[in-house]
Amino acid sequence: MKLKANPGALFTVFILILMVGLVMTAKQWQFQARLFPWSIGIPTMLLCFLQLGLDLFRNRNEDEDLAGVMDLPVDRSVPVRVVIQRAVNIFSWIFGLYACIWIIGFILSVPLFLLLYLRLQAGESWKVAVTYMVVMMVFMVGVFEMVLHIPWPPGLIDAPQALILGLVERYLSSMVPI
Amino acid sequence: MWEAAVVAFENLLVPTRLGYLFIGVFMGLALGAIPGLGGLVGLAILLPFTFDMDSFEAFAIMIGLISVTSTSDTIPSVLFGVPGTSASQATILDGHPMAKKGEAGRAFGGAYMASLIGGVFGSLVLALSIPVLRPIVLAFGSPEFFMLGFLGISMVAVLSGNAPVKGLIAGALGLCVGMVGMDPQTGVLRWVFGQLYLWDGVPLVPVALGIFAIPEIVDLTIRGTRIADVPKERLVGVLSGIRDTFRNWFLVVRCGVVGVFVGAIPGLGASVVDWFAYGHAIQTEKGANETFGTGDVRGVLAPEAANNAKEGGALIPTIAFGVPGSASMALLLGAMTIQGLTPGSAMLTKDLAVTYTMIWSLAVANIFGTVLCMLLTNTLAKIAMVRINLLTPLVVVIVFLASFQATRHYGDLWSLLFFSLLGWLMKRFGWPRPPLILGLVLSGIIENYLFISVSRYGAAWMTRPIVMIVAVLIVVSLYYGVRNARKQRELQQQRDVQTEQERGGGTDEA
Repeated sequence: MKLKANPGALFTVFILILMVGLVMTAKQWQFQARLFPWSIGIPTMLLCFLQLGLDLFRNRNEDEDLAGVMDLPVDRSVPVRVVIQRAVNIFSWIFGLYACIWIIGFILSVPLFLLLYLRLQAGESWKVAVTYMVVMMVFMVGVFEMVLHIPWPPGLIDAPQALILGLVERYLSSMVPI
Repeated sequence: MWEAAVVAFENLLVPTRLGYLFIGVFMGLALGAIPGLGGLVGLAILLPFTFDMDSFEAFAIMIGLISVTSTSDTIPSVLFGVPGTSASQATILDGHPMAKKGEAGRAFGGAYMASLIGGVFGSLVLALSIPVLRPIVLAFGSPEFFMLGFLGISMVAVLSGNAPVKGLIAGALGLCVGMVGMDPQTGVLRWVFGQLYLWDGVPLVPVALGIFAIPEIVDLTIRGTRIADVPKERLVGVLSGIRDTFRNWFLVVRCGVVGVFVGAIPGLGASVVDWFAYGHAIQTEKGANETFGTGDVRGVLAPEAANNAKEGGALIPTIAFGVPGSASMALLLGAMTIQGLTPGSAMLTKDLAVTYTMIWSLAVANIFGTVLCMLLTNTLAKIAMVRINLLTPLVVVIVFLASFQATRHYGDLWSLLFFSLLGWLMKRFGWPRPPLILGLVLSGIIENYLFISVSRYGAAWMTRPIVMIVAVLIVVSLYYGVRNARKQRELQQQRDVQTEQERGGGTDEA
């Protein structure tokens, strides 16, 4: 039996560490509270060890576990290096959107994200990017502000978002018939 | 019972509810037509917007969405040879050759009519199963429901991929995520890491969106460009396809039965239902061995009838036993819990009107879906070919907004990011994701059943006959799941060896 280098094993190790952490933390709880976590967590730790063994020692071809039957299939036609590059790229945009929301709030981040993504990442024309951004803004204000009345969370720098929301509110109240 | 069915129909006829159903149908058709997305992603996005609706509206829009993805997924399958969802893979085998022969219109006519008959048949079976299931469900207590919950998770875990161990770990991980928060029995705070946000547990919405929606859009972006160009020619021959369906009505009904059965078994579902029906048609239809795969319309009718009928079947264990057979049913179960409904006996007694509204929604959605598909096939084909670059930012923004609806706390976005990464890694490394969602949805319910069982019966709950039968079923399902996975891998190895030998031979000859 030969040890195989397999990046999937690293993911199994991550899950194993997670499970060990969860089981260890539950130790301090009273019996009734830890009964279910331990009944699930301890056998799962053992299953993680079994999976790690399979990852490390099983023939590599066998480990093409395409999540398969019930799950959506993975496209394996793109080379792994390209997959990693593109994944890092798209996840950077996603995490960037979160950071932007955290700093300046939803109302400004969403149109900014759309504009930048469409121009810099997608290479779309200004016309497409701006139209898309305006349509999305109208959708956001229409559905989330006017219909669902979402209390938008303030960003670290809240003044610009507060100003826009104030303007929208003034505009909407001016439209209400007296 | 018939009174409840009539009342439910009247409930659905309220214009706002019909409107929601129609919106759900339209969203489902668009999502089904875009390869790579599907009802599950749509359902996850839709879930937070149902919080403020009443039960009838919420289920009208959600069932409207999931019922028709299998109708419009035929469009990319037939026109481009790319399945719209995993339930229309078998449709390609004959649908695409038909399109190449200039018979795309006939393939669509047949597929839509078969989908309609299959979908309505599925809802009819669901309606008829209620009086049969009611006495069985009422005889079940907490211990039986506890074991059924485990049966559901274990079946989905071992059947949802060719890696049963990974499936079981994913299911257990979902159960653990479901335990985060304040334990309702003891008040102990479990795995909250000092975060107030986690006291009420991890909300389902950001987890579902993170696990399914973001990984799909990331993978679509990685794959890049559009799949093909929109065909220029108008579709003709739709009526002849409809006539084909009625000429082969017995095949359509039989495949409807196959769809209902496959849908009702937890762990099977979308990706196999079309193959089961296609296989059944090859075995039973005259001359199928010679003509199937070359553009025989029966090869389109069979999978299309089955994949629409499966939703009716899948709703049976979800409503009656609280055992969702797939991730989309798990989300529907989550919506039931959010609406204050308890699956099981209550859905067949005091909430019977909601159950029948779901059944009517299923039937009416299939009718709406078929009519819209017949009218809008060319438009839907254009949606199928939307540039990924335009789709990605839109889906990301909608996912962020939808996720924030869960508790309207920044924690929702943190959960979304964490589970997005986890979901994508799970997908790439071949870890099935549906068991995780099932575990999360069922965690609170089955822990509660366990608590009631232990406090009421002590250890004696384990000796109840139905509990023991279900325990045997769990062991059997695990055994067969592991055996099947091993067989699949052996087959894969044989294929690899064969391919290598062929390559070797080719090199020698060269």
